[in-house]
Amino acid sequence: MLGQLTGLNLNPLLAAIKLTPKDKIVSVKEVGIADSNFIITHLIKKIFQNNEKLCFVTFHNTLNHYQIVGKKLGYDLTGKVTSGDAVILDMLKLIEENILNEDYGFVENTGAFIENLFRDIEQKTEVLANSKSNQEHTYLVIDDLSHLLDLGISIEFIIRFITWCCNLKDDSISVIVNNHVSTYEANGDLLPKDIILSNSLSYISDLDIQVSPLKTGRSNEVSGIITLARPGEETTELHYKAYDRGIKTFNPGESLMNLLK
Amino acid sequence: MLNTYLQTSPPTKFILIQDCLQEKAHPILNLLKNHHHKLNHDLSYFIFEGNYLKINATLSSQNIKCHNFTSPSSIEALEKDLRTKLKPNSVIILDSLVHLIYLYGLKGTYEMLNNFMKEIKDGQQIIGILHTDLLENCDKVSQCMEHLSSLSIMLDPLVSRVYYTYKKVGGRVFKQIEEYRIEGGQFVTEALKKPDVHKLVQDKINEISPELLTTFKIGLTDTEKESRDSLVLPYLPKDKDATTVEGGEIFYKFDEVDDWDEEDPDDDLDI
Repeated sequence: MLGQLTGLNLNPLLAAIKLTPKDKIVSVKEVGIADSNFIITHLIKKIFQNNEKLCFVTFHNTLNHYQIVGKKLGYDLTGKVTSGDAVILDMLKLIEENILNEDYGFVENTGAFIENLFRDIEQKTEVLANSKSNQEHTYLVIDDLSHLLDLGISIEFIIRFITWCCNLKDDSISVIVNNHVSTYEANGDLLPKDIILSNSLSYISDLDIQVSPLKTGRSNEVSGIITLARPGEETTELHYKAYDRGIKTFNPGESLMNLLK
Repeated sequence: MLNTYLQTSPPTKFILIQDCLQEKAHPILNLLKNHHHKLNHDLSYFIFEGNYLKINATLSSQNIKCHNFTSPSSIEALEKDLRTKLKPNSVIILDSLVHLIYLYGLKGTYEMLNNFMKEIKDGQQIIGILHTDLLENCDKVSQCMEHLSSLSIMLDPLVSRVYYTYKKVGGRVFKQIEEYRIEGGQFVTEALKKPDVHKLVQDKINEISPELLTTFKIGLTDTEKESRDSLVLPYLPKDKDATTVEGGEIFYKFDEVDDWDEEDPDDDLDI
């Protein structure tokens, strides 16, 4: 059964998402304890299978993690970097190096940090753009944007950064941004920053993917809910079950039937 | 009515639309765009959020000129651009004010808009979109922007109501609440109706009617009631004029003390 999940056309998750180059901005939101990382890794799989280019900015996991998950899903991330089809901005490593060198500029001058990050992205995407043929599309994947808040960067800078990333020089670039929001109640009259960040992405996205846990609690048959929304179209809600080597999706209420197949 | 204030002549100088993710400003914007197109007004769309090329491609087909403010520029450059685009019978749409505030601060944005408002003449209009769910302290920003606006509109999708404040040139201020709905992509509002007390009571009675609580039929229709009333039971005395039937006949004599139960056995069902 799981063998079927590896094929691109048969992959139920990618078939449900239906990502096209026309989707210029894709927002992937994880709510509460849900983990939307599998959406990012599956979308990377689709990018490589379509022979498209990738600029990957990692804040959430180490490069080694993405390599292991990629191997399980059937692609070689470091191999793609070597062949020039992908570039990686390993922010975790960069921040670690800064801390080791006692360079705390990234927390003291957050404005400069975000500008430098954008310049790096701009430069890397230009390199990718120069190496590709006319037909190829480039994807900028950021996993995940909410960690900029953890670094103490103000919401003003982050929203500015999103706008810049959505308007890179090369118009054949699509942006896929992961972000997470907590389910805690708002603190008094102030709206939490993670919600603002997530809302700002939802306003501009051509495809809004939300991964949330079941409202009723835990279940052995269903891992959570995926909600897919496109402006002007009806929202699709799917249940999913996460396996080691793939994800199975089904309509709400069909989980038992799928497990019996 | 809100539609009247949206389509006044000369146009309202500054319309502030406060929207949220659940109900975006697009239906109101479409209404305004159609109105200005009919009057051959020039529409300029200042884009501060999203992908400029994609928005430009959509709006250019609607004969709207787009201006890119997604890349870094100073507030002085923006103010200069606004002035050059402000011609007679022109309309400027700022999408969105939150991004402007995040770029130049609330004070800077307020001062810039305030200076700009002083130069606006009859026939010119500014439309600002304020995403209320992108602000930490929405009330403060909202109050500042409402102070500048001539018509401030706030959408509440939870109850399908639109709250608006219209400031007349003479100084009179109208605050209204109306119901809204989107009909075929069109934004339609109507005054709140005062509920009819009798109808509410009747609705409440109908709500607790046993008819609605069961899966089978309890009550009778008017035809069935008529049919029941016209039925004469065989043991009851018939009319004298009725033709007598040959053969045996049942004579029923009521007791002196009546044993007839006049109470409706189903009275407790409250039908």
